[in-house]
Amino acid sequence: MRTITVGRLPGLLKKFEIFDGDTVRTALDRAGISAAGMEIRVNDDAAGLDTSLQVNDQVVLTKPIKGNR
Amino acid sequence: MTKTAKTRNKKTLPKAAAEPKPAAPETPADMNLLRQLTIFDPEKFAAERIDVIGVGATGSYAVWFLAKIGMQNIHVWDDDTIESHNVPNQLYFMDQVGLKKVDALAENIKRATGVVIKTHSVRFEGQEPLGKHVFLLVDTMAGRKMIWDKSIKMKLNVSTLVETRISSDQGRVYILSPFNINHVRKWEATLCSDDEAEVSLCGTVPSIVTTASFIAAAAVWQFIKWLTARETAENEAIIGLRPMSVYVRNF
Repeated sequence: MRTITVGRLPGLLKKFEIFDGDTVRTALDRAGISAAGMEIRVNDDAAGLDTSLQVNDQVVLTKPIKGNR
Repeated sequence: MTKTAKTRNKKTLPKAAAEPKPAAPETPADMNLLRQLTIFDPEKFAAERIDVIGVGATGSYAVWFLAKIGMQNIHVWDDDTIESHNVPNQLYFMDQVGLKKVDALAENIKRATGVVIKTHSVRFEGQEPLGKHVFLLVDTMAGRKMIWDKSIKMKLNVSTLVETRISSDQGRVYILSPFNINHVRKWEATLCSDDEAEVSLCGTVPSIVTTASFIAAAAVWQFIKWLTARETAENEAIIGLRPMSVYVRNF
């Protein structure tokens, strides 16, 4: 199966089937994950909802944090 | 031993406990690191200067761990005074409320390890060159950026930057070389805006000691790896605690 890995941190990354023309937005919709307030990375690089995806890509959402108090 | 520590011991020691006790460490050389030495022997690195900027939740524990593993040349920078809400999640005692954080931390570290840390009870604004290793543990992104640009980025006197970020149930640990252009570019890309911080319903920034101390311990572990086998220290670790998860990346 042609797959991508998608997940939100903290949490687990899971594999999903990828379809032609998939973007971060369609992949997140299929995974049931909201990107609101999150940073998006594809294969460790900053990305956006319209970034195109390819087989074996890894889409990770992280929450921006800054404190140490 | 300080006057405060003497008083505290007097209050808590029962009268019957008159039998001799092992001597408390008076100097770092008195600390028995026997059980640690096969994991990390500090002898080669103990004298290297470490600057810890910000000794709040993460910073106070980071200094504690650094002293406990045998590092001896630690400078701490913070202009804050201890408030009652700092006691639950920072390494300070109830009877230290009202003291300067750096002074209280110096007392606690001396008592625990014999290490005398150098205190700077001011906000770090580039007053003097930093040491070989810098733990940048301030609260704001603006503060990080200012200190980074002024005193760390491409400065040959600094060979290591350790930087952490925490929220209620997750944290990040970065370790990098400030004059490695690839490290600089990748780390700078992770800096976000101060507007994006987590805020609780009552408007405060939520924090709990278990997250702060966990992330401080992870930061010091990364530092140990960096000193002893640099290639094994991941440049970025995003550590989730609820649920437990770790995501690492090398720059």
